[in-house]
Amino acid sequence: MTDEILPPEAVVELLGVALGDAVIDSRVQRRSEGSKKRENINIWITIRRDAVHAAVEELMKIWYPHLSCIAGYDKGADSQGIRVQYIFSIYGGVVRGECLVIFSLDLPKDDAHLPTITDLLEGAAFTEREKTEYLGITIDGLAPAIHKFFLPPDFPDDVYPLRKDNKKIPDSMIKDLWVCGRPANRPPAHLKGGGE
Amino acid sequence: MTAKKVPYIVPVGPIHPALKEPVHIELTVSGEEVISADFTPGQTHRGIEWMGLSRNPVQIVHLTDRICGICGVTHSLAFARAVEQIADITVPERADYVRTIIAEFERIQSHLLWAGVAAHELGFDTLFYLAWRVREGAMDAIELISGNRVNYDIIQIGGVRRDITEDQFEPIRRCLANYKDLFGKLKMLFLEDAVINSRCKGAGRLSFEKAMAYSTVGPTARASGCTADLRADYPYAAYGDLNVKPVLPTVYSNDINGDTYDRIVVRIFEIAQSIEIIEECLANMPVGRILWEEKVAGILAACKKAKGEAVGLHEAPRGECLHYVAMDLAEIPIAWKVKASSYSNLHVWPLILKGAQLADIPIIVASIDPCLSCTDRVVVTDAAAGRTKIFTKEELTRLSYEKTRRLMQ
Repeated sequence: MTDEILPPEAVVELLGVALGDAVIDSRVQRRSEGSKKRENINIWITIRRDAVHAAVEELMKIWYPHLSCIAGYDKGADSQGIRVQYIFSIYGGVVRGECLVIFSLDLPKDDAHLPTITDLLEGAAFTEREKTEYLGITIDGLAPAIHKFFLPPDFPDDVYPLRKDNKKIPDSMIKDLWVCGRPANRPPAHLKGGGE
Repeated sequence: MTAKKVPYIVPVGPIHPALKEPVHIELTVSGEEVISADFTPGQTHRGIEWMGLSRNPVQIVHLTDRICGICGVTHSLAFARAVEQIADITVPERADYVRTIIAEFERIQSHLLWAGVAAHELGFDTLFYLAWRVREGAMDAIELISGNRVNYDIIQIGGVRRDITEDQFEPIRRCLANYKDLFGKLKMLFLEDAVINSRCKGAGRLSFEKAMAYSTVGPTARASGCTADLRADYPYAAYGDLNVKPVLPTVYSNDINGDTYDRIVVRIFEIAQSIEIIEECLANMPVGRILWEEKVAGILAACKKAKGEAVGLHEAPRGECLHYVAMDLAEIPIAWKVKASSYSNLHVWPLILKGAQLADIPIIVASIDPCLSCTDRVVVTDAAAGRTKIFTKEELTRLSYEKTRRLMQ
């Protein structure tokens, strides 16, 4: 880790050199708001799925990163893939210097495995477990959870709330919840005209 | 019958009306001391992200307002910023300033709400009433600007739905002047009080190294010495025009201990900082439009042409709030991920509760500001004897009160 603040292009280049052909594409996104139009910077890098651990390792050589979370989405009921984003930021605490680094990768549903990065960043376990519970991604190297963290304890095991395919929340869990009828032991409603 | 054996398991939670989100905490205790702690959030999975995937961004903005009852602008601002980046929408400068002003008022009311809860957990109810009375000023200002006290509904994709008019400046300035007068008193009551000092100093300590390794955010991270504050580091809304400096415990004392007391220091001084930010924004407010496009159909037309992914960030009262959105040439986004501030802070509970005393649990749990100390009930299970004693929430709080009383004698 160095103390030097690199421009985003240099960060992309450093990661590109270190990861080689595991980097599929990259772009630097700039956005300016307010009167003075000062820029904030986001770096988006698509990597091969097997390079995620190495990518985090390389990022840590540049600056001790802040892991916001791991996001992810099912690409659709017909799609065979899940897209996962590791959202980091570097240069936190540097005035107007913070820069997001987002590693995206595609994961096939029939082999939804990712390595843990808790050996590098202890606190990653929480968000890794979320990916297991919401999307059904198995995190290799992470000790199995003794209980659910993000879903109620009685939530079914093979249902994943953010999946769009046959593992999604079944209609029986959401549809027509209002069809429960009026409790029989209640006094009748005092309404004029009508009545049951 | 076998004798009682330590350690005992003390489950706390999961439901209490005062909680934003029900959380279950399980503590292994030996006598008064917590040996280890485990927690289970997610007791009420509401499926908001799932609901969002069948709605358009203008509808989702109203949904984001209702994610949290205290952060009424946090989620909508972060979400709107993400969509604006994908659809390449330029927010008018005046709207950036209105967003910043309302976000800072939210910080004032949220920190005061927390301060009141913290005082209550310590058994200092006079201070609790005072803090919440003082909080009303910020609530009134928010109501004046947005028309609402809780779900402000002021953010729209591409700007804000209500402007701050000239005649509103005066009452807002009066409100800020009132807070300035009160600040000295708040500081004295919260930071100089002997009982608060002895209850909070050294309690729930989080080291700098762990704060970094667990990617904590907001006042929890800053109290441990992390200088990260999106308002200073990552220019967005009107914050890029201001010189915001992260508030660290060193603003009041020489050391950074990362304890509950330091978290109070950071929050109290952030109130003063928010007052300054609002004053600066009012003084430098640009003139002009407040919406990129006034007609909702126009905003949706832009969303329909949007393709790509973006991340919207905002420094909420509790720290970094993040929304990830992906869109693909349709009104309805294909992905939406909400990362609330507390998401990054909750998982330090097992660290900061370890070694704590049972009576200190309410204030330590509350110190990262999930307002969780209002636990519903506590069950003390004696596994060896196969007996269960149920404490009510009041009894746990009473333990905390008694400790304070002992200190006052």
